[in-house]
Amino acid sequence: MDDKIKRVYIPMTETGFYILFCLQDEMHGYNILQQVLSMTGQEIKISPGTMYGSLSKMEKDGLIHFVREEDKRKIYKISELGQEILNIELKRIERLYRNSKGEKVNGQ
Amino acid sequence: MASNSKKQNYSKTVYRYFSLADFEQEQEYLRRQHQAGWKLEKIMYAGFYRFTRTEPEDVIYQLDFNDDNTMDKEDYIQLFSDCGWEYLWDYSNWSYFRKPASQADDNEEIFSDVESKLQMMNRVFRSRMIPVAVIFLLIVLPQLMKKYNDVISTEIPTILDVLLFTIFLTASVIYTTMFVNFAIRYRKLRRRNIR
Repeated sequence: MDDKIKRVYIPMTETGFYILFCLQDEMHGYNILQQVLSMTGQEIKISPGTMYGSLSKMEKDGLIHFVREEDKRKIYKISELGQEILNIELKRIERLYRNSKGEKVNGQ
Repeated sequence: MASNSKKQNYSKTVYRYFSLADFEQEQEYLRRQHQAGWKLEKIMYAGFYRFTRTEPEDVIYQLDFNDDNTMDKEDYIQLFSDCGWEYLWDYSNWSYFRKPASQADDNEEIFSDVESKLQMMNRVFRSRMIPVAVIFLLIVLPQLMKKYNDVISTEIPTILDVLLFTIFLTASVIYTTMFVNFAIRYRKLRRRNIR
């Protein structure tokens, strides 16, 4: 994997994480925004400027790809590279979580 | 007479200068105008704002900067409108949005994290500040130094030389202020990010 992409995206910003996580299913920006709002109990509300900027940047970097347009809304989905990055991040978050609970994580 | 003054009060054009780093001040200014019953109607030229009379209302104004000419504007505007932001227009790569405060969260902005706001400033820097820096370094600064030499090397400098020197000096001060201003804004925003 491209080391530069890895450096830029890991660790991920909260916004970046939620967007990439949601795009494991096909969605447009406003869908993602609503999904994140509901899965975080209204705590994380991504604004449109932030959403648009993140989506364009992720598309440019090849983490997500454009699927189709529906009613002027662009629908995206995670790419193979994006999934790879997301998996690394998920592992990292899980380690953080387990450590925060006082658990020790065994190396593979 | 009465109808004349009424007509005059219906709209106004105001000149107001905001430097490249002052987009937040511009947003605040437009909001205050709307609170005072002046709704932004149009930007005539750079810095010339046309307002029309309206009911005083607290309306949030926001600016975004996009220098990518290949972007899909329809999708962009749709996303903002889904989030309740009225798209006004683009003026020299700045997109203007507004939303009544009554429909917004407290201090709602079009950027919900500092990273994306910094990215916007990076876009401004890349497409505006760098050309300005090139003009400054290649034209204004050499001319300033040349005129400075002209003025001090002659006992009685010509009025034209003094005048040109003053013009280039003023330009240099403006340019430098702009850079320093931008750098300070950027640093402040980054600090907020680190904290």
